[in-house]
Amino acid sequence: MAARTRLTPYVFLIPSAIFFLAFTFWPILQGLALTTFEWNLFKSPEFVGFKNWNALIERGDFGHSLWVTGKIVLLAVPSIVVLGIAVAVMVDRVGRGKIFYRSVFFAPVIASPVAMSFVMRAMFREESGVINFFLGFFSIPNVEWLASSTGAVSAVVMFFVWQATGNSMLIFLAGLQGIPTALYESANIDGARPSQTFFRITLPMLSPATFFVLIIQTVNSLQIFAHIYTLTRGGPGYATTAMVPLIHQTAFVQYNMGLAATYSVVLFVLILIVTLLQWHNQRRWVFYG
Amino acid sequence: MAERKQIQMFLVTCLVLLTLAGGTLFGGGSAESDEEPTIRFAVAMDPARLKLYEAAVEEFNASDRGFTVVLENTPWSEYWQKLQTQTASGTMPDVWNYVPGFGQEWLENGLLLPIDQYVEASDMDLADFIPGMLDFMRYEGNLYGLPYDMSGHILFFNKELFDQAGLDYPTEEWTFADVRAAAETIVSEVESVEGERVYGFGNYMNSSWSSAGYYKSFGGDFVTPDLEVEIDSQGSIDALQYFVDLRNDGLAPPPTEAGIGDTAGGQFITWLTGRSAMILDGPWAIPTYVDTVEFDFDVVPVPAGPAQRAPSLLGGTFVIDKDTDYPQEAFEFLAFITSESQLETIVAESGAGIPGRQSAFDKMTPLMEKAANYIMQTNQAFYPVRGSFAIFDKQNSEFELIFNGEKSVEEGLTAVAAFARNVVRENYGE
Repeated sequence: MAARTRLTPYVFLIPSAIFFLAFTFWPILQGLALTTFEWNLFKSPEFVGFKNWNALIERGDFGHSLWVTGKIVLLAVPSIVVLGIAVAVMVDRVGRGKIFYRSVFFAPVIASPVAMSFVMRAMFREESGVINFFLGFFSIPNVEWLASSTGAVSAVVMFFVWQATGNSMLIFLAGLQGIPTALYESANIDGARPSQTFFRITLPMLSPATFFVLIIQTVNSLQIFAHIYTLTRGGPGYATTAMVPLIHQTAFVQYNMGLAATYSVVLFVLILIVTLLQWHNQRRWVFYG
Repeated sequence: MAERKQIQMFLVTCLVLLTLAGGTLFGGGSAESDEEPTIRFAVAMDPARLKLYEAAVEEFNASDRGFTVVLENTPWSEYWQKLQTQTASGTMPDVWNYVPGFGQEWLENGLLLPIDQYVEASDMDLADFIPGMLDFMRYEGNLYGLPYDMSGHILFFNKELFDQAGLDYPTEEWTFADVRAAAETIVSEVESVEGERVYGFGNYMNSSWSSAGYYKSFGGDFVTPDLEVEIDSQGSIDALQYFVDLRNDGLAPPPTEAGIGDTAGGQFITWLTGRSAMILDGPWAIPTYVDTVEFDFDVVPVPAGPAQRAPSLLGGTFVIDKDTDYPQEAFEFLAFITSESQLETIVAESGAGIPGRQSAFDKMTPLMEKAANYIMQTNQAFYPVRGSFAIFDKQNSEFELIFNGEKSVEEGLTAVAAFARNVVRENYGE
């Protein structure tokens, strides 16, 4: 009886497990195996041992893409967290029109990156773009957004952050709703300033939501692709060729499936390590109440 | 006991659902054996041209030939990736849109059906097709496809800016030196258009198939028929340096407004807004410019370089998948879609481009016919190799660095040439 009771949940997991094994785990194993093959899609795969792993070390483009990806993660993730909290707090405190403001800030999340990239390209143009037009009011000279390495990375990060903030805002809004009002009342009675209330009550109580957003957005930004592919195609030069655009280019432009699979495995391990590190460190700063 | 029954019911339900799902996934295809054959026809057309192909397919299907054609359209930017995926999964369309260079892997890996026997058995006159385009589709003595259009670059010029600068219009004898001289005069004589600065030249040489022609014009080349990579030769460096100098001397706009990185027909903003006097573009852009720009323009051949006048010839063809279940039907449709009447309607009359058959030329607009004659007279086929796609992509990245001033022309083209040699070696051996 006890054994049956223990087995019951596993039995109910069988359908999901089958789908996971068939459509996730098995392709992962195949991808791992593909790292030891040379395959251009047009001929049968040829076993080459560790040739692709040697190429990963010898070719400079992998290290460069890792660097570009790191820059994007370091710029985008903190921005999304800070902006997400700021917008959530503002929307939470607004008296009327809360649903309207929530919709406005969430709208970019549901917009297609492909469609939005056309708008972004026009906005980032050096001579006729609207961003440089507004910068001109502050006497800031035209920025070569999409034509310079620094500008292009900034443009990609801005595009990505703009689309991701709405999602984070919703998560933080939900977190804010869960903070007991008694805490704020006590702080008020004790004469706490708004900044003290924010840093000593709101932020710590939001730490579980912050942790969740950190993990999700770190994984998302490590895998950034659509925003780069549609806005800069990895350029100018290789300035925005992050890991996934590199994998895409290696597979579908250079027809080198084995090397692309190798890059994918490394990216997978990298994401796993970063996520595990975040999980490990959460004990130090995430407060579950 | 009750719990055990519940578990048993649950397991049985799961097994039934899985069986049904498996039947749907793996057994669905077998029911079509009694139905009319279907030919899948894949294209990568913009919405305006797609409507013409839809009408052509509808007309073909209405003629009741004993089989049906189904049109599949994919945007150009995703088309080749989709074909790669379909190749890997063995689900290639029966007839599909092929472009020399881009599709070289399919041609040289034996994935296309040779059509010689079908052509011989039919009454098709191959002499009517553009010879250069047919040459692209010949490989190891066999013919693998038929062209539906032909294209290449021509020089577009803004008549109004030339008038304002007091210059004579470009002629068929112009050289790149004449282009530069005119650009300098226009920039110095014409202050602005609607308050925005003016450029003598609106774009640069781009990094795809057309680059071979510009390299040749200055004495270089892309990859020769002997598989020698000439991208880093002095002639090729001189060609690219010419365009870099236009940019650096303020005669051409910044890279993002000159369509750098885009394939031909990119966003030449300064041309579209009447602020550039000249651009290099293809006849495919004529209908858009006729509809969009608010100034008077005309075309002449691509100017000659110091070595020769050799702009690249390219175009679109249709081919048949080697593993099609219905080769005869596929050829029948191929012959129909590349017939004189269809190319007159789809390509010539619509202004979509230059038809792949010479007999359809007289249905073109006067400007398109002019462009067609220039291209026929001056353009040369470039030599497509396996891996051209990857080399163009590498070249594109290096061009961006060069035009942004982050690399010299020599450094950039040296990097491209090294990459290209590696690609050629991997594909063709030492």
